[in-house]
Amino acid sequence: MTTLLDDLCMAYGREWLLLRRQSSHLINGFCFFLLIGLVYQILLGPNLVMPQGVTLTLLWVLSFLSILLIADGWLVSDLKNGFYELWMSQSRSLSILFFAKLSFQWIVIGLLLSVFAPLVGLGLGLDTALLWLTVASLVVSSLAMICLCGFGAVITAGQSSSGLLMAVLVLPLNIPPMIFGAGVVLESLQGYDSMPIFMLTVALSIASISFVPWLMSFCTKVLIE
Amino acid sequence: MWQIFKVWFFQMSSPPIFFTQIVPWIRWSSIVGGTLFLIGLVWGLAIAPADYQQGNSFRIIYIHVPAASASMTAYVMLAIWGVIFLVWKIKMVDILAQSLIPVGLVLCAIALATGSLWGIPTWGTAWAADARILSMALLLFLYIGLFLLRTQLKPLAKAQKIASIVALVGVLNIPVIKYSVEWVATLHQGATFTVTEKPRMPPEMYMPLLFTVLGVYLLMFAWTLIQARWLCLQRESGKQWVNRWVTTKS
Repeated sequence: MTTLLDDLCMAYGREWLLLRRQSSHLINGFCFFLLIGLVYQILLGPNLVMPQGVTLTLLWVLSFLSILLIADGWLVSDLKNGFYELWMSQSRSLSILFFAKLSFQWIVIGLLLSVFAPLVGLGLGLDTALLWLTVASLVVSSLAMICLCGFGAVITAGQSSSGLLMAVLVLPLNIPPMIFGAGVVLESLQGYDSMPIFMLTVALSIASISFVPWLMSFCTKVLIE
Repeated sequence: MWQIFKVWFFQMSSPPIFFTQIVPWIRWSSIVGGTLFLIGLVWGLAIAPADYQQGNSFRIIYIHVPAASASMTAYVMLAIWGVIFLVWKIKMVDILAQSLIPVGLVLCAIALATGSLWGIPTWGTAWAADARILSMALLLFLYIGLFLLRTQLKPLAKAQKIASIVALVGVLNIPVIKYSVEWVATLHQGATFTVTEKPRMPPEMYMPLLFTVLGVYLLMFAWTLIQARWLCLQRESGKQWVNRWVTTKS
């Protein structure tokens, strides 16, 4: 019998190994993020300027779509190669595995977002004064988005029309993190105090990382049976 | 008394008994519901006085409010049935949940469509980025997602469990819709009537609304039970009672 701490360390160790060996879906997601940001700059041209509200909402939608792409690859490959069954056959906790996966994804995606989001944002005309608030709220709301996209990926894993199912199921669930996350900066843009909404964003992210791993393990057990 | 209820409850949880015993319920709820709805509709559309601000366009409330309210109630019921199914694994509860999904979907779509129609003369726009409208649109997508999950996931056991979980997770949207008009200063008007306070409308206007709300709830009940009957046949196909019913019918 392994303790939960052993399971956690093993899971984190494996995630680190996977990151070094198979980071194609991560690169895929972030290339998507940068490319679409670039496409917007190309299409707008040098003379047209987007309002700040549009730039900010675009950043959130792009992050959400990139996370959707990344989550699918990161979670489904383990389902297909039988890793979850192996994990369960050793009587290890599946919830801890998913907690480790989601939190590790968040650390990696959060770091990458904090580097790439300013690049795309500034390219699209984001005000430098809003930059640190944008990055902070993007990183915090990305945890909730990663958890919910992961949940969607596990539910629709292995279905032939998983793309449509993912979009229809995951998008409605992800709208609160996007509303609150973008709302932090949008409120600050309008001159209001953004702390209350920021606290709500933090609360949403903490709630999702607390409950979603358990939900995902429940669904995976259903899927494997 | 409790014994009678318990026996009835356990009997109704069995598809063959449910199939035959629910018919009078369907008949009565559809007749009463249809009558109440028609009375309320005619009263509201033709007889009730016009609003001093909105004129005659306010009359769409008699369709919009029942449909919206019923679709939100349907979603909460789906979540509750999801929990009951996951914990106690009652087959009939899952059949009822699957029957309720298309009903709730249609009611939600009617609410959104009639709301847009209402918006054109009153707000000058068919759509606005308003908290209640957006969260109702979200509810529509949740219903569509649940519907797709139910039809596309195979085998049945998987679809049942996963749909129950998704219904549970999405139920957090319902308080957001209900309270969004109070939390956020939005374009959508506040609650027309609540359980605790005196309605803000005069009786000539809110009485037909009560009729249509009651009528729509009963019709939703009847429609769900009709769907549930057919789903019983479908799920239990190949069993003796189904074969017997089919041969006696034809």
